[in-house]
Amino acid sequence: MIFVPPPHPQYEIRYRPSYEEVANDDISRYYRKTEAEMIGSREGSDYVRTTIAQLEGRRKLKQLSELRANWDSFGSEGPTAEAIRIAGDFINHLIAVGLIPDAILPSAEGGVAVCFVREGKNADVECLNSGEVLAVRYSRNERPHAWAVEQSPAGTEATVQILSAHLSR
Amino acid sequence: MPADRHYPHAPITEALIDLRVRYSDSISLERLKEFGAGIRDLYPHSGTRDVVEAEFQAEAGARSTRASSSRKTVGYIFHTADKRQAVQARLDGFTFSRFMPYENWANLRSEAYRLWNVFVDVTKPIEVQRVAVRYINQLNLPLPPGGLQFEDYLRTHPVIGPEAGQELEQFFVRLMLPQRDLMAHLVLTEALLPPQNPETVGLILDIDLFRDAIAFDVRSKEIWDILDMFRTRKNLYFEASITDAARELFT
Repeated sequence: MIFVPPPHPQYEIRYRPSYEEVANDDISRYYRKTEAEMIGSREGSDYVRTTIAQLEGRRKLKQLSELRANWDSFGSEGPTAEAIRIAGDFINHLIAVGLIPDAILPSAEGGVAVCFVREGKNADVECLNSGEVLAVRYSRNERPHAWAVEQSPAGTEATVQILSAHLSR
Repeated sequence: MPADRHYPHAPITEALIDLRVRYSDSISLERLKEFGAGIRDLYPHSGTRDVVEAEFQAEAGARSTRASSSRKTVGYIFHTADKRQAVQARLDGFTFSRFMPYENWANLRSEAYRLWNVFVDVTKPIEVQRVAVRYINQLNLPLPPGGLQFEDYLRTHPVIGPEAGQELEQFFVRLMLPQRDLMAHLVLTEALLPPQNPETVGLILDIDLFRDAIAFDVRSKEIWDILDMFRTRKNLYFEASITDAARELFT
């Protein structure tokens, strides 16, 4: 069995005080302009974008590594160190080709699920506590296609290529 | 001050040339894919370039707000097999990037020029509206037991008034510096990376030089002349931003 996320991945919503509540219109406009420039700056560099994605991935995996058994109240195991390591390796490979995960979630099967959603196309990689890695791709008009990922650099690379082709098609 | 030095272990993690364009008609993602198909022999890996759009709705009198987000593809990124180079074709333009190990400006410029001509042939933009050269350096500064003094390695860095405590855990500095003779702006960003190991501190030194509000013909030689001048100016700011102790780290 493989984890299939809901159509809309769970995004973290972080609290940020709104400068619009404390600043006048001119200051707000200036802040907005600076904010837009900084986002443009971040997005304009592949290195900065991927470094931020890798740091975010590491932060998320660290959170998942602290999950205890029964984290979902349905008796699921928390991800093992090995599942976290494999997921980290996969995430780095995916980010290196521009595939930034939309969500990194604990799997109800025990392990880590790395999820992508791109305009009606989905893909997940599930790194299970058993050491097994499963991948699935699907879209609105396509039945899910799942496969076991061979545990080797070539197996990882082949899956990265399949997912990249699917999501950028 | 040497403004054009070559370092055997240059800390450049990404050097890029960015050209923003305007098309005569609406450009399709399909056309951008055609560009990718044309360069597939050397850039076989493709991925999407996406933006996440968030929307918040608050209705008058309602107690809660609704938030939704969606990911929208705005272009594609194509990497070489060794992932040392990448080119982006987006709805707003073209970017060529060289990652570590950096070679030299001549190679960066000539490959960008070659790919740009393919991009122009396939996507047919009518003018260039913004040109930029950007170099992102990562300096791994040794962390001595007593703590790091940034002024040992940096000549441009944040300063805390001496009466206040001097301990610092994180900083992000962004300076926008007008370059009136080039009709351009230089954005110099310095930021600390989260600690990766106990012996060094990773510091990003990002120098982004751009001119916007322009309308150059897509085949104009002037674009490439400006990029050459930007690269020289970038070198000047890079050298002006570091000390000899920093230079020793990458020579």
